[in-house]
Amino acid sequence: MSESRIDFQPISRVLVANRGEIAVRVIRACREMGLGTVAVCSEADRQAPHARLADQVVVIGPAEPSESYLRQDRILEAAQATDADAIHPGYGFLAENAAFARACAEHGIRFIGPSAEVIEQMGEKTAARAIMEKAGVPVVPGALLPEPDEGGVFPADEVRDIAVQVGYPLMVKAAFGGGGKGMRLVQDPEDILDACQGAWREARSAFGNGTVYLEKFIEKPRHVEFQIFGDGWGNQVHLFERECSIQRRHQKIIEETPSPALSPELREKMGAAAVAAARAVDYQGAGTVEFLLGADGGFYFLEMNTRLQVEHPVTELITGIDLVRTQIQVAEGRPLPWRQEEITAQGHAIECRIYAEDPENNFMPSLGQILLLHEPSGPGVRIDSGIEEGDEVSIYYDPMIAKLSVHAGSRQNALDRAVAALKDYAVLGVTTNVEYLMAILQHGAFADGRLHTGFLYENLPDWRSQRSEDGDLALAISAVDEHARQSRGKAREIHGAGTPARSGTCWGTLGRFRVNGLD
Amino acid sequence: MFLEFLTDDTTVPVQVNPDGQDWRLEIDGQVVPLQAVRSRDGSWLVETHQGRRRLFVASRGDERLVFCDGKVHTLRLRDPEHEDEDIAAAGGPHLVADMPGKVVAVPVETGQIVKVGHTVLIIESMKMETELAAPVAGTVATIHVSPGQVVGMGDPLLDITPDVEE
Repeated sequence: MSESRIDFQPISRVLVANRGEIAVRVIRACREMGLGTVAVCSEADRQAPHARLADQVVVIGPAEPSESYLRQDRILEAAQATDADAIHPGYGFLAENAAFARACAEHGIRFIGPSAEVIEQMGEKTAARAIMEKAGVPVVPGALLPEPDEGGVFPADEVRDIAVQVGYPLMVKAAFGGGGKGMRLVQDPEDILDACQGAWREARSAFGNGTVYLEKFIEKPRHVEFQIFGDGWGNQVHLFERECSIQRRHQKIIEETPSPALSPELREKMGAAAVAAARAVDYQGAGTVEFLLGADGGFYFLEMNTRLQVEHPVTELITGIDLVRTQIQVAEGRPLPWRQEEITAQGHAIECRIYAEDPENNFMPSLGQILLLHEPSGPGVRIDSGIEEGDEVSIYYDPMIAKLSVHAGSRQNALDRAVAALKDYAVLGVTTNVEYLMAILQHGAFADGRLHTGFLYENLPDWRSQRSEDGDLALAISAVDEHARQSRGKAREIHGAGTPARSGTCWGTLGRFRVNGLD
Repeated sequence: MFLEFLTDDTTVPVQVNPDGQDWRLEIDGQVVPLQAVRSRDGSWLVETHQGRRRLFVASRGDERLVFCDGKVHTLRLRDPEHEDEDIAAAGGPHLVADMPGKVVAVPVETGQIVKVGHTVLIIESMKMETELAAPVAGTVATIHVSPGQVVGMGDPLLDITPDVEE
């Protein structure tokens, strides 16, 4: 395990095959390291922050991801045209696409992530389970289903028998899935066949493969995952856990570390299991081992994500480690800069995902232009954002527009900090979940750390905004604002077409002038 | 200056005038003095009996959006010339697409009796399936779409004739 398998080869220019906040995050790390950066963007994203931040940008196709951010050929072409020697895939899009990792290698470009083989093994959930079971990592009891016919109709008797063996309640899951797609909870044996068919259909349209399996449903589980890291020198470590139990439709909304549920003993046990999982596939790069944690302290391997996670900032905040920088260093063939016992954690960190969606209307994505954006700031407040004022939130991309992460000395202090920051997070133009996030954080059960993946359904069903409390104030200020707006308009009419002259600068007296031939 | 705002389907007349450094408002006939100053970042600082509050205002057409302490308020500046269109948009017992997507399945038939919450349509948007439930108990009157069909925002999907309470 300890002999070198990778030669050290420095990276000089990184192409970031992504958009939004994660592309911005990666480009920033590259700039700090003195590396050249190449952004790729769709035609809709020419003005997007990530496209502006990089040294170079290549437009790779129309707005539809399938015609741009998922076009492996165009991304590889862009890398070659710009002389990039590495590609960072971010998360989503091509991050867990083994064929892409392989194509990168074939083009002599380093893929910043694990090997294509590992991506493949871990992407196939049933294969991943088998590997983990063999490595002694506990897994949830489950079973594969027989093939359905062309319409997704499963052999009824056989499926019912398998389901009884697994035991109700159970989950129907897509073997090639992720992000909650192609998943169904079945409580009542009556619903099993419909659920299988529904999951099959959704999985087939989302992932191009409808294979589904059954898994025992752990009641009121927590979602606790471990950040792992491996290098090409046989080292594998974990960087503690993240609790991501606050989910809606299996989409994480709030993540924190440390988990309020873990004793030092349990943390050590789960950490050791996570490292065992990483060792089982000789993992290289940043990855995440997801566990379900039962109320009895039993934990089960859920899946392994072979990429940087959305929620990686909370780990960075408590460990002080830059995960993206380390990813690049490992891709260069360097050994991990720390041993397990050198990795320490301080304080508590919470991340809130800001979604352009309407919590009062079935969480439908909210599309449109960001008319106003004012982000919070202050000690221990980190914003990872992929949008700016004037940007358009479109149907084509994920409705997550930004992440707010806070770090403080204790969980309660971090909670207070997150609420205060959200109170100051003004987004106008699209509806966001900011007030909903505040309601979650301020819920008594959250403060008590009584979390489980059904938390939102149990504690905040049919949530409604409390905006009416300030309705009169909003009305009054709208009237005042309108008066000010119309007065300004009149003032402009009186003073003629130009903007009013300001004293103290030369701009007011220069009149019209030209820069680079433009007015 | 006289303005009319539409908030939660109620029209509120507002008279607003500067009053020295402050403002004098008459909201729905009630006099409200207001101390409000616009700061350089575009926010309004308002003195209230609960202390100073900071608000942001943005506008889009006749829409006025106000942010205050994590909450967003949407108001409409009423333009008396275009009143009726809003009322028509409010909708009745028919379902329209909230966002673009694809119809996956229509598990009901015309003439079928449905209860509140009965799944009448399955739509896929952004690769997620959403089950649309009947908002009222009644009879499926018209189905405007079929499986596989792509729908745009605001497209009519399905009409339900509500049961008459006896």
